[in-house]
Parts: sequence; structure tokens; C-alpha cells
Amino acid sequence: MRTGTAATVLVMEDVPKGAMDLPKLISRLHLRSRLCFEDLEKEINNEHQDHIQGIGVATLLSIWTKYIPRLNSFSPNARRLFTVTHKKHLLRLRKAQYYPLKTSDIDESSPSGAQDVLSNITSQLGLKEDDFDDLLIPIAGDQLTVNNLRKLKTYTSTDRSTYSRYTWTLPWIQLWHMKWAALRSIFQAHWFVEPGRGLCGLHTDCSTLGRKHINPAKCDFYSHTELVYDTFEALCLGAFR
Amino acid sequence: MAISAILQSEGSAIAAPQEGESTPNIIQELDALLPEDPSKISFSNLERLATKVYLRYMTTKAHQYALGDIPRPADIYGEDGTPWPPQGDGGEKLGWNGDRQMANLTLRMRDCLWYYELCHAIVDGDIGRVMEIIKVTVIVVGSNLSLTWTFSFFGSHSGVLEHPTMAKS
Repeated sequence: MRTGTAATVLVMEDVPKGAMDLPKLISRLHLRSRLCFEDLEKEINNEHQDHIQGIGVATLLSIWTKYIPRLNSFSPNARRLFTVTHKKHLLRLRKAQYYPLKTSDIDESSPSGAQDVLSNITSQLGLKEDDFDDLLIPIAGDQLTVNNLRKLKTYTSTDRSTYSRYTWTLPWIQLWHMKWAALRSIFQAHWFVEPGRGLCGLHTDCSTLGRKHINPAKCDFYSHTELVYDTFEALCLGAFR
Repeated sequence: MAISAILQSEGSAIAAPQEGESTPNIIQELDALLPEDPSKISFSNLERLATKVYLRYMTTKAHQYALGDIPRPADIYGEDGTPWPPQGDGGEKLGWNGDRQMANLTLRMRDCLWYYELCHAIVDGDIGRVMEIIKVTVIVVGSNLSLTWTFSFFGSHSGVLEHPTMAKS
């Protein structure tokens, strides 16, 4: 099998001044080593719980009003809960400005592969090593890309130039990959191996619905998401009784 | 039935399915529980019902209630019925008053709600809502590849996140 890499350059918009400040980021990264479970738990405060409760209620209402004919007329009210009441930070609708780069035959599955990809991208963009002194570029990808970039930064941390230390890269997981990881977590936790024993498990529901091509070890995104959506919506409708 | 109680309190008539009448699917069954005239249903009543359902089935606290760890609040669950302790070969400890299936179901609905919201917030383009969900899912997702470690980690803390357990019966 031949492997290769395709990258796309996206123009970021609405970036606040100072958000991509490299020294500030490096000082923040040092704080990360002290991050612990209690810090993450503090974020789950009353305000956050109220928001999640509001979202839970809005989700139930949107499912009920979507499927129960006599509640269809309340659908706009349920929608308003998401778009007005529990709105947080709605992004402006705009056409993304993007530039697909030339594909390469580099295998990006190792830190050295990631290094070659970065070198390939920067040469395609016509950037020189001196340009990287105050530059910070978010590099988005899957978990492996993030892992490889972090390793690369560790391995090259004693190099001379800013460019070769790769401090200018900001590894960033794509939202789609985050969703997929969350989906896999659901299947790891709620897929009981023996369907008969866990009466409320996903495995039992999958057998009842006669869904094919469901493999929790592989966790194909679309078919597995559909299974989670359908069973969750059915549970919400069941709870209406 | 919670919906019946709420609608009755509003003085609405409920057209329940007749005895022997076939109810092929849940949608028709639920539709029959509601009055035909939508003006007899108020959205605030539906919101109240949804809040009750959320608190009963979609929170970590509901999971703890189902396990019998803490007493259930009467305003959400009503008065407690007669406990049904595990019989003989149930596999649960003698004297345990929890409900294993309900505990697993509440966890599943909670996790699915987070996933459902994550996907829908992304589609809606509301990155703030995405971040609110990430606050809780990042802990699970971040340690996705090491499940044993993940849940032993949660287990040793204040029970913010729990793992469903296989029913032994």
C-alpha cells in the first residue's frame, strides 16, 4: 500500500490581537505540566451544569417535537432554545478561504515523517527559516499528528534555530477526530460483549434493530453514529411516556 | 406516567389507545397520549416534563440514585416504592437496593447526550457550545486508548464520571 500526505492551508479569521503570541503561548505551555484532574473538575461548575441541563432539556424537546406529530408545531420553540437561550459563541457564516497544497508521498505516521511534511509545506509556501522567529502556526490533524508533532518538538528542543525547534507549530486536534474519539469511548463503555446480559447495552439494541456492519473495535464513523443517534432518540421518545 | 399527570393537571383530555387496538409504533402511541388540539398543550409544561426526564435519566447524580448510593429526591422521582432486593442467584450483594439496569441506562443516556450535543453544536457553528461539552468529554476522549486507566482514574475521584457495569443476572 502506498501512503502519502495531503495538506490544505486555511486562512484564520476573527483572530484577536495577541492570540498567536509565541512567548505568551510558551509560558502557558509550561503551566500545563501542573494541570491536574482537580483543575479540570473546577471547570465543571454550577454555571456549566446549568448550561448542560438547559441543553439536555432542549435536546429532549427537539427530539419530541421532531417525531411526535401533535408536537410538531412547537419545533421552532425548541430550536430557539439552542439558537437564543443557550447560545454561547456562534461563528459568523462565511465562505472559508483555503488553498489545497500539492500532495506528497511522505508517510506522516512518525515524528520524522511529520518533520518532512512540515518542511514540504513550508517550502511550498515559500517561507524561509528566518520567517519563523515570531510565527505561530496551528497544525491541525488527527491524534497521531498531534502526538507526532509533540514528540518532534521534544526531540528537537535543543536545536539552535526557532525553525528547527518547531516551537512555531501549535498541534491542534480537528473537531471531527474529537467526535470520532468520543464515539469510540461510547462504544467501549456501553457495548456489552454478550448482548443478552446487558439489557440496556448498545449491543442488544443493535441486534434488535438488525444493524449490519457494526464493529465496535473498528468503529466506522457514520454507521456507528447513526446507531447512537437512533437508539438515543428512541430512548428519549420512550422517556416521554 | 409523567406526561399524563402534567396534562391532566391542565385539565386536558387524553386520548389513550383503546384495549385491543393495535399500536404499531411508539410515535403513534405517544401521539395518542396528547390532545388533538395543539393549543391545549403549553410549551412551558413540556419544558417542565423535559427537565424532569433530564434529571431522572441523564445525569451522574441519577446514576448514583439508581445505584442506591444516596436517597432519591421525592420532587423528581415521587415517593419511593417497596424495594425489590436481588433474589437468590442475582449476583448482587445481599441487601443491595440499587437498580443495575437503570444505573447503566442513565450513564448511557448521559454519554449519548454529550455526543449528540457535540455533533449538533458543531453543525450549528456554535463553538461556545462545543467548548462547554469538551469540558466534560475531554477527560473521556483524552484517555480513550487506555480504558482501564481511564475509569480507575475516575473511580478514585469524586465520581464525576463513572463506568457502566455488566449486570450480573
